[in-house]
Amino acid sequence: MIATTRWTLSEGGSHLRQDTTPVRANGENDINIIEYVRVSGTSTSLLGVWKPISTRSGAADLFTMMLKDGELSVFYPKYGAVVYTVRLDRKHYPLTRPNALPGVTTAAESIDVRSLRHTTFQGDKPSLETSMSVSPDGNTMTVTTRTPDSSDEPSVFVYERQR
Amino acid sequence: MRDALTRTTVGILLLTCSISAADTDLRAFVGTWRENQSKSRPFISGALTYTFTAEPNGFVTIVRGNVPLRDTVRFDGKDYPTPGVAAERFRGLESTISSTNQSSSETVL
Repeated sequence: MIATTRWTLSEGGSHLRQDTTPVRANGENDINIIEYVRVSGTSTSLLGVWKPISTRSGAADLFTMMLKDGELSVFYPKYGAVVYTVRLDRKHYPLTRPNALPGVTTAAESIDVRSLRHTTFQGDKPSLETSMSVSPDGNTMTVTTRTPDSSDEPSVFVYERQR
Repeated sequence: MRDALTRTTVGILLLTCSISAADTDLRAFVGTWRENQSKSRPFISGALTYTFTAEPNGFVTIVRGNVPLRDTVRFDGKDYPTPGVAAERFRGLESTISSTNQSSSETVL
């Protein structure tokens, strides 16, 4: 089992709360909560279409990047594994994490001296574009993700270097 | 003499190009990074819908928008494989789902 998800209908059935508790390699209790509003269906049933309106995580994201032979390896303690690698050659590489979906790859390219972009693909189709930029003082990394060919706003995640 | 000068100039130009190109210094990324959640601004796409559909065979199909997974489950606490996923991945992608009566509203399927 890699995760347990609990769905809870609000009183009246207009909202749905989804609590997902992944099984983490490091034993971390990292609950992700997504709240949805009903798009279709009746008020007493889960059946129907639900649209997400908010998301939050119980634990701050944490990862370690290691460099070897021109390739960055991104290790997540919560998975106990290197999830993906970054080589700035625009070639496609499969995800390295356990239980990675088949056919999912990433490719990376340089933006500038402190920024890079890596793109996740499902087959040949890009599904997520991620830009990573380190501040001039080296202490902050800003990660911006966006869905290609979408009008959705990007998500911005700010990371601080651990000493 | 002129040939040597030309070669030197070409060498300098190549060296300059290799340094000034926008190559990312990957060493800047090395280290451990922790998210500062108070500064992050996650956006959740409205396209990431969840759709629950009752099937004639008693199963419920769960489709997550933008994610190529389609779970077929019964709300009976038992495990069922995700269709279309290789057998060796069944264990990792099974869903364990119980009917939810935790809220004040009863879930009816």
